[in-house]
Amino acid sequence: MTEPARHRTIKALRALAVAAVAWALAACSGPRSILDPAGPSAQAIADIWWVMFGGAVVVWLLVVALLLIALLRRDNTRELARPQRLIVGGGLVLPTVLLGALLVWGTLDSARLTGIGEQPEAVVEVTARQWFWEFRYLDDDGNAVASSRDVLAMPLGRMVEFRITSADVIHSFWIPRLGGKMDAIPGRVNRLRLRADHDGAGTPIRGQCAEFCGLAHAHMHFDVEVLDDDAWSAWLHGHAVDATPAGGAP
Amino acid sequence: MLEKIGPWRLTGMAAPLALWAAHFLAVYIMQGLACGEGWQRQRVAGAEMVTWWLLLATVVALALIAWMGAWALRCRRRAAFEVGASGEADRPAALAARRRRFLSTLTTLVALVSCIAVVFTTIPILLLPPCA
Amino acid sequence: MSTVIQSPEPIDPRENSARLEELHRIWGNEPGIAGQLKAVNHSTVGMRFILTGFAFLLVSGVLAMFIRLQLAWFDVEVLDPQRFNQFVTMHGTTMMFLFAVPILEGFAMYLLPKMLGSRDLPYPRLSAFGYWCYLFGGLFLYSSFLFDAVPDGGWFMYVPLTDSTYSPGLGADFWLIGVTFAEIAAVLAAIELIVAILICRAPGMDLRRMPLFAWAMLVTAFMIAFGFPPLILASVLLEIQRAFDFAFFEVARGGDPLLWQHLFWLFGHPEVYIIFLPAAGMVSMVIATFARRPIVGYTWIVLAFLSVGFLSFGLWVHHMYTVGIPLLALAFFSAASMAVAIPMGIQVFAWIATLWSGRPWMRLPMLYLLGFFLIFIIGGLTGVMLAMVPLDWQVHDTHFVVAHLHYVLIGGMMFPLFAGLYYWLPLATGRMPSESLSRTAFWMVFIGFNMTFLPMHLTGLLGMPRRVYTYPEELSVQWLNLLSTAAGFVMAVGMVAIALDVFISLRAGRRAARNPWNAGTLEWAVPFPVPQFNFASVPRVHGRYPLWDQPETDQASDRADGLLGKPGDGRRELLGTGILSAQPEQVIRVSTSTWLPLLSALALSALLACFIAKFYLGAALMLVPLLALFAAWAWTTGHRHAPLRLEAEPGLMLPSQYACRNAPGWWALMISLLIDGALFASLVFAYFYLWLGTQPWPPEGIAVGGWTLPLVSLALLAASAAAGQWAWRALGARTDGEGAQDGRPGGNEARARGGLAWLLSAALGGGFIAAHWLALAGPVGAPQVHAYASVVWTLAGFHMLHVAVAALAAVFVAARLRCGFINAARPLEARVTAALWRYVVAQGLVTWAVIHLFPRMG
Repeated sequence: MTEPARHRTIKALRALAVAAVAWALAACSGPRSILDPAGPSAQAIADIWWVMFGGAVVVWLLVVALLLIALLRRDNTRELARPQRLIVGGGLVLPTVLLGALLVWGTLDSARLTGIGEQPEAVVEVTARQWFWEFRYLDDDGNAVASSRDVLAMPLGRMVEFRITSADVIHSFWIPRLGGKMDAIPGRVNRLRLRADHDGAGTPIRGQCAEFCGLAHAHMHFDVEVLDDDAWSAWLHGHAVDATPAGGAP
Repeated sequence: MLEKIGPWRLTGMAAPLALWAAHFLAVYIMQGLACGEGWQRQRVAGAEMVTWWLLLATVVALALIAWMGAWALRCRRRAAFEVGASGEADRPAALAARRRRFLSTLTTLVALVSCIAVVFTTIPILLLPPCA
Repeated sequence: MSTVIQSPEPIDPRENSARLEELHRIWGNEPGIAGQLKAVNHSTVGMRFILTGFAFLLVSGVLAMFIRLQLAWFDVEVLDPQRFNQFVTMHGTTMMFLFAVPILEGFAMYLLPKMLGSRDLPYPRLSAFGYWCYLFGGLFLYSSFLFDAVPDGGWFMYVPLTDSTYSPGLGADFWLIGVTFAEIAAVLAAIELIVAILICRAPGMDLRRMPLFAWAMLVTAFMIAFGFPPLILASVLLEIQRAFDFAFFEVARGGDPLLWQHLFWLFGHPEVYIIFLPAAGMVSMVIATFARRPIVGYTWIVLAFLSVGFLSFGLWVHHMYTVGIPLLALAFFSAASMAVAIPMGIQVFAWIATLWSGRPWMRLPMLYLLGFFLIFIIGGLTGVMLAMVPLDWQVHDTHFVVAHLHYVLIGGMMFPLFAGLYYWLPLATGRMPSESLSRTAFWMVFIGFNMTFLPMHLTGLLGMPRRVYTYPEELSVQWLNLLSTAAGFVMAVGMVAIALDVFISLRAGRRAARNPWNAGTLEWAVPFPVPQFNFASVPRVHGRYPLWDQPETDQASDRADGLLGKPGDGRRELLGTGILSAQPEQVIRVSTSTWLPLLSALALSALLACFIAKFYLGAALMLVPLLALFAAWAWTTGHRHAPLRLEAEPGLMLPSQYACRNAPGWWALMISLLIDGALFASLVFAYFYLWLGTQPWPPEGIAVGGWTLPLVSLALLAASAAAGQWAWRALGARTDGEGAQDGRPGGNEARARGGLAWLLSAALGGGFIAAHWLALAGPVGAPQVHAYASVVWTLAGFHMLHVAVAALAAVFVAARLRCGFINAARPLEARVTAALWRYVVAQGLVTWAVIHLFPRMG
């Protein structure tokens, strides 16, 4: 192959690769896609996913390769001289090291993701019911200043604390593009902190009930509107309620 | 008493894993009490007191498992010697020696796995505050 | 090692065939339909479990196809939401409780006695009863279709969705009662299998020569013993709450819905491994045969089974990462979830090492094992992903988990099961599977499976939750779902092809030669067709693979001149051997065909049917026939007039089980108490879990009461214990086995005294029940008031029930003493009852401390 021809081939291959990646990314995007993060928490988890996905592929290929060697071995190849070593190496040492590392990473990340020690900049009370979501927006004194139903507004780039409970059965509050889910359980208030760094232009951001809650479970979703500071204040005004003490959800 | 739970018995073989279970339950309960009832939450030497208790449980569990493992290893050596002495015969004494060797080998390995499992349980204790 | 064991001179052929004929007569099922209904033999019962399990698999598969059709596109409506929820619930429930666990138990019941060189299981009537409970429980659950009350709360039945407020109909009741009924089979099978593996092995098969399938089943059975009680307890509590308005899970009255989740997953996670381990045992058997060498790393595989058995109990909260539990607690469970992958790795590499050191033979069962490896490893790797707390927060309750669990369960259980099915098919049918249709079926299932569930990972990552009957178009998952549906049907056709293939081979398959795969383990030592007694004389074993070590083993066990070869006085006899050494220890005489199992199961069904119809008087009345049947059962157990010493083979005299320390009756009690102890521990856990969330304890309005009545009841309990001990001592029993030389019955006077003492202990037990009732009725009040009252009454009631059972047992022993069945040389029944009594008293002390001491401490 001549030099220019090779260049052309490499270029074509590169274009193809770019196109493939672009297609893959497009396939991964979506209003509830875990792989299309719009906030730091979801981003960190997506990173974990990609690393573990790659690792899993490598491990799977390795084990299957060993298996195929073992199965398709002909008489002219050597049989395993010291099978114990395979068991100790593959079964004991390798998993212990890999899993130990994963455990450390997962534990540290879980602490970081929940924002231990961080001060939230807005607080929203979430009450799940069969089958809709109620959101009440609290001011600094803990009074509800605004409320909405099946639409959640969030200030752009600010940490929001959600105080999640349920008025009937167990539901689960989940905005995949922002982070992990948290169950809404009657009699308990669970806290979840999320930040949206992206306003959802292009692909919207949606939330969904993730715990089976009866007949209309599938339809128990809500829209997330991420607003900059001005729009956020205006939105709160537009959805204002008579100030009532927090926790007064019926 | 020890005769009954030695590494050459079914119960002895499972004992290290039972210790893992006891340790697991102990740290889970202590942690639950700390967060639910506020037990031992005062800070001592840079960590909450309950964390120290959890670590103490780990040390005790690891020590016991290590002791069992060492015991099993000794039994294994002795049994291996007896097997060598009794040859390939199918006599009851020779069979018993081979059985002891098998069971004490197994117990040694069980102790090893139990140790790893207890260490795994302990990693988060070192990395996280008890009630966040 | 090739010690040839043969009787000094060959047996006379005529004598031999006379003995064989006699054995066939003794062990055969009775003719006709009645004979089938009365059958208790392990091959018959095991085969029934397997066939019924497959029937439920097909039914549940049809439900799955409807589910897939509904999800094929975003705007179809094949099922309305209610139907969809019902089908999802029934699909999961059936697969878990009516297919996976029972069919594996069926395989174990069918195979284990053959593998261990035994003639039957030690409690044939128990396994028959278990089968009927399983069948009737399953039918009970499915009868909900007739009443339009199909359960729709999910197979996990989370409260409050399933309590009487949010599921007012009978659906949840059908689930709770039907599933618990069917679980009786699992628990009974656990007892049966543990004892069979511990004391019914062929002589010489000491622990290190036990087939790995037996090790797997031993660990599995112990896991059932500890894992099923929490679920049984949870189901009973929820049913009590639904029927009688108790408050365990109701927030407004101090209950906690998370208690259900803890108890359910405390069962639910070990359950996955309860399903996987038997399959792993099958893999270990099949792989050795097709690698044509002994398994490599036997010790390591046993280590793996054992470790999985324990570690899997530390995983339950990993289904609850999103309920708001402190991070550190989550991390403990994450750690255990990671740790359990280590023994999994050990197993997989031991199997690979076996193949690598052998000469692999790619026949049909091996093909299924190849499928198992490729699929199961993916399931294991995604399992590690789910163990990772942050990632689980995202993918929990999405289709990613659906994909994962099908990779684990279908890959880890169904593929090995089909490998096992084809491997052991010749044993059951005497014919070989075809190698053409069956290969086509394999590829359809394999490709169909992967195309169904591999895309589903992505479906989940794109944000499709579980248990939704539809999804919005904007998720763009319709093409993935359509692919899953289409491939799902390919897999379904493959499954039908497998069923067809098995059927064809049954009719037209090539006749199998004896031991067609050249396997090494004892189940292949039997002749075709397999006689009901398996072995004309119990084989002696000198290695891990008897047929490879000593090819003449099968011939020797065909001849009726070895151990138990001479049919005694027409009773079914098993050989009992030592737990560790497997040296002959006793001759166990087991029951023959009888109506008792079927009738008991029918009475129990009638009772439960009355209960679900809220006809409580009828349910109470049905206790009468049920207790009568159980009494008849106990009265006719085994053969009590058997001589105390029996000739097992020329020159070998062994005690009968009534005079042996390691009697099956004794071990049955031990294992039952283990199971009962787990049940009790779950209840105590429930008490303290509710305590943790309730301040003050007891809540306002409920008093602790005075000391007098609690102390009186404690005194009565102690007195009954003392009477029981005295009654046991009065017998002067000898349990060393050596005392069984003479059948000297105790003096009439001693027997009368002993009987009186047993009656006294029963009476004192009755007094305790009354006193404890009074001690609680005043201060605690009605159980409906608060979760505290509910749990205290349940705890006390649980123990009272035990006292009542122990009292009945004491009356039974008194009657047996009077009739001369029990004496110093045959103390088994008295020994069992005395031990039961001790256990009940110990349980009473814990109960008493929890109820009366603990609330006073705070």
